[in-house]
Amino acid sequence: MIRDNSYSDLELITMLKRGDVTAFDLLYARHWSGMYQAAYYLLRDQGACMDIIQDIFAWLWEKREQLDIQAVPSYLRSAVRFKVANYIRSGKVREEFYTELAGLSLPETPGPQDFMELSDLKSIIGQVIHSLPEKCREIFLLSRDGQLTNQQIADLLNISIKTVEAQKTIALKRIRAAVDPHLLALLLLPVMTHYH
Amino acid sequence: MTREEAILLTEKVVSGTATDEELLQYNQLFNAFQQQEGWDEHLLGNKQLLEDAIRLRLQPVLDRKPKRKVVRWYRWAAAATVTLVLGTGYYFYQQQRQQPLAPQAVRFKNDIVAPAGNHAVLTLGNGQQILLDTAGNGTLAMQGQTSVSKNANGQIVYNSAGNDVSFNTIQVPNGSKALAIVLGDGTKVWIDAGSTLTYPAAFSGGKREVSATGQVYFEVAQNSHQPFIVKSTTNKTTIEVLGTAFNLRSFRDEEKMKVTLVSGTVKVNTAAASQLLHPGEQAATAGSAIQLLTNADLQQVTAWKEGLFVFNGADIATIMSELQRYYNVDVDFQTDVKDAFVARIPRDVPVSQLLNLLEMTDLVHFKIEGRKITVIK
Repeated sequence: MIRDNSYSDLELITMLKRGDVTAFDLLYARHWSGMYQAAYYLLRDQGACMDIIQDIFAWLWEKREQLDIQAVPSYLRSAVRFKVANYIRSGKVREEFYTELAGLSLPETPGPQDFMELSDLKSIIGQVIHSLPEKCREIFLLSRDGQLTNQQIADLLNISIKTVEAQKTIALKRIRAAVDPHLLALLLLPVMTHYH
Repeated sequence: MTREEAILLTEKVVSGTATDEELLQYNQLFNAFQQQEGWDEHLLGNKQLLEDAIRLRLQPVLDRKPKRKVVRWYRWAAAATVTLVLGTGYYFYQQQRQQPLAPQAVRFKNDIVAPAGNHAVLTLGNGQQILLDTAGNGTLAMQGQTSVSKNANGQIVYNSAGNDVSFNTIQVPNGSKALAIVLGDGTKVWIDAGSTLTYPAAFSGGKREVSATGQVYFEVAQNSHQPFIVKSTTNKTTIEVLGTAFNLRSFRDEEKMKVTLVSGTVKVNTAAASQLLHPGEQAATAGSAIQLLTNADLQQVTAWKEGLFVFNGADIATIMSELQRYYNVDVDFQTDVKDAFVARIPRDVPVSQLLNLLEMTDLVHFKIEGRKITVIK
């Protein structure tokens, strides 16, 4: 394998779009270890961390033709965060994680780094939500941002409460599906028409 | 944070229902676990083994491209056939395509900076030549009662009291900034790299006549008693003006001469045809025929005078001919690119910045060697 550090990430991603395996290997060699370390410090689980890195790079290759080259570096960073969150959510994380968590003192005020990562994460989540069918998105946003109850939304939109519940379930399923394991794949397909 | 709180928080992050505060909280949690160290073998395991193991697991994904394989086989078959017919040319073309593209850091190592000045030469009526770059500010020469001076902005200004009709010429070579000049009648002219303007030191008689090659922008001072006439030396075309602003583009190496009107009225006359232009219109002459374009892209046409490169859907040949003149470089085409490009960038940057912009499309690449830019796939 060529270990050539003179290509910029943007150049490599441009080459990757052409199906250049060398570019893929260079990107992998450059980024895998940082991503692995970030995940490992939380999960301390070799198998889980290897899966996470494998999933993200498999996605990168499979979706190479649709890549927005500017966004890839921040996608790689955010993807690790998402996948780690998903692993914690699943309840499979080792017990000591919670012990360490209890002993953590999180800073009162977030630093600039936290805000930068917030905007990366938000843009990924925003794109998932944007890809929802219109009605579904409306109901989802009303319940999230408007903090309305299912009954209030049903009254507001003049639909049954069952419809509201069903649409919210669809939205959450879609978002979860988007995160795991094909999180980023969905992000790159702005117009999805699975639900009509 | 408790176990339940952690699961609830990550649940919200994953489902997209987390508020900004909750996302920040998750990021803080994530960051709190991070360590600033390098690879710790005791904690993380053997780096090389892990790298190889994950890479190996990715191999099936990389191999999963059956359609491409078939296409590639046909491409080779085609290459083989054409090689038989055309000899080795196509084979080398294929060879070149297979080679991985070198990094920009290598291809753009010999970057070419933007011209620092205009290396323009002014030739007076008596044959005296003045290098405008090195000449100091102030009066450069007197011709009869007409003075030529250079002001603090590098602009060349004629002040004519008399009627000295001796002809002066300004030549702006390739690899120069555009030069601005004010003629004896107050007409303002911008002269691009690779262009020449010839004009009398002072205007007298019934008309004001100048001649030009290359790219020149005129803001003609109004004087209905003395029509202003521009002759294109390259194209045997005259432009009659009555107080107006327009761009003339008549490079020797370009097939068509183009006159684009910004304001006022001009009349373009070739040996066989004549066309009146209104603002926003462009006349393109090829031979003595005139084609009219009613909605010319004025921004693109006049960008050079504002110190910008503006391409709104220009082909690569057009872009490269601009670079050739402005940076004074040779251009070699090793590939034929049919696409149109959109770019906007100040002219005072090294050439690599513009090339980088074009490469972002992945439709074309370049390499710089000496003062030659090669266009590659």
